[in-house]
Amino acid sequence: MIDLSLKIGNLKFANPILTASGTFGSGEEFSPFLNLNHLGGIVTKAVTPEPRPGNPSPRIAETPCGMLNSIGLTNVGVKQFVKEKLPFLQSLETNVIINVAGRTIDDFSTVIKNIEDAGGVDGYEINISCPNVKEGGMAFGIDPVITGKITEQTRKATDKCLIVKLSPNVTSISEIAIAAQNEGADGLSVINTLVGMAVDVNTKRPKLATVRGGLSGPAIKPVAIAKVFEVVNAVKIPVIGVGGIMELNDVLEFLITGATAIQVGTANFVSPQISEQLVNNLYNYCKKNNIKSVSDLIGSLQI
Amino acid sequence: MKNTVSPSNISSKLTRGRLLEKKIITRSIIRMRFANEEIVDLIRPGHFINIRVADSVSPLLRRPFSVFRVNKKLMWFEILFQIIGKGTQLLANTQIGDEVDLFGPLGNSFLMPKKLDFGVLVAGGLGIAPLFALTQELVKINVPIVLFWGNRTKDAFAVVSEFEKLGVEVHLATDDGSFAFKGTVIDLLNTKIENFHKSIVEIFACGPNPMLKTLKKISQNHNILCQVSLETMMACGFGVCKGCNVISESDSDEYKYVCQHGPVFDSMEIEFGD
Repeated sequence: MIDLSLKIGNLKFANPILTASGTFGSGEEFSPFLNLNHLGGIVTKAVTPEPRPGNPSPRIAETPCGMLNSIGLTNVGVKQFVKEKLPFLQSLETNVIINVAGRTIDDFSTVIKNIEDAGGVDGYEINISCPNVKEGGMAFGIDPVITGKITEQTRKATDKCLIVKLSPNVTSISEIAIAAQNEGADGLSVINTLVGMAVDVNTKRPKLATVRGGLSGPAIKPVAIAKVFEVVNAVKIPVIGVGGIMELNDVLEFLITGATAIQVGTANFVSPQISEQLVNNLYNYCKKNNIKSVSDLIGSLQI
Repeated sequence: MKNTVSPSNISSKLTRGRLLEKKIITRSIIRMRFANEEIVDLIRPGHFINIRVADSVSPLLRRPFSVFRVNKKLMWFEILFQIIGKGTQLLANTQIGDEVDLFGPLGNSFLMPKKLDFGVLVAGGLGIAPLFALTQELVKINVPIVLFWGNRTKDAFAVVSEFEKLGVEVHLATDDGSFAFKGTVIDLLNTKIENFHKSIVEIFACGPNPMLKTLKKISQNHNILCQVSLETMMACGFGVCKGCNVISESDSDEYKYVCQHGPVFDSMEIEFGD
């Protein structure tokens, strides 16, 4: 028997394959294509206190081995989320992590309190790294003091697994990581999208209405690996690797570098069934290579 | 306000299809026929298929294509597309017999009319693609069809014979007048629209947004229902990425999403902007 399980804080995950926020809706959209209960966990699209329509069109542009997006945290708001999306998530056996975003520091605990009242989720991922909103988002995540404050407040709002999602658009990601760890985060997701921009040379206009957006996909994987490497060497809490994972080798690369788990993001758009396939592929890889526990892989990097 | 939008609750499948036929229509316009037993029965006029053009991360995203024609008996469907970039070029390079990664059918479909004297089709360029699948269905319910189609050049009209074979009355326009009527398809439609005043008609259209915007005004002025099929950039095609937003006429705080609420909309539901 091969053990793929792991723990973040007190929360046990059956395997290290999770889905990245913003690329997996609220899970239900993917149920025709895979068995959600075979995943380590689902991270939902960001939930804010109020509904948000998001940014003007165009919101996406394809770039070499990646894509830019400027969606802008489109969501129905926490009240409607609890009513419409949460019941399905509550029915799942897999771990359900709610991604939480806000304009103000208090917004984060407002969302968490609303969801705690409804119950049935396993944890929260604090989104202080979205590059596509004017207030909150990345503006919080580039500041270690604000990161510490939001972590402290959200820690008070829940006993459940608390993960902070970090931005790569900073000078020192380990400084932010340490701030989140010191205020009680159970784990860190590394990384959110990189700020990027593309220009249509015919019209001389930016390809996104917001001019700049967030770059994701295989193009950012080497950056994500480097950031995971930096963060795992700076903190003691588990790190979840995110950025450009398309196949098993990418999963292994993150685990070897020291990530305890990973999230599949942009690949979900191209291959809706990919995250479950990666669970199976990882299992088969361990079996074939006589690896009894996935923990033997984590941080096995040789330098 | 009429709501043409049927929620896209159809079951979409991740599947593969073998390329049966590749027809070069012009230097840059290709028609491809794919065999598939799983999804042809699910396809309705207006649906699109999201195709992974290469097993590679460059280009990364699937490409959405309207279904041009379906043959449910022989279990194939066709797409009609123009080579406009790396993705469409890679697809065009597919060899007969090769299998292609398909995801669909996606989106909603044209709302079939109850009783019409004429179905009026209006196409700009490759906007013709979903209108042939629609023609196939309208013919089945004995709706007479008039097609107005505009293109930049004459050779792009090659598939018009397919419409004529189904008994469609055809009116063509080229921007520079090098073939048929000189002007836009809207100019052409304007010369004929009075003819429809005493009839029950509905417009079905696909083409560039400025064309659809003008068409919306015309259909309002003449009190004609108008269904439009929209095209936008999209990453996922099934309502997840929220990348394909268009502005809703009825609710300025809400966007509509082309893959989720469309691609077919009542023109009155969409604010086309400037």
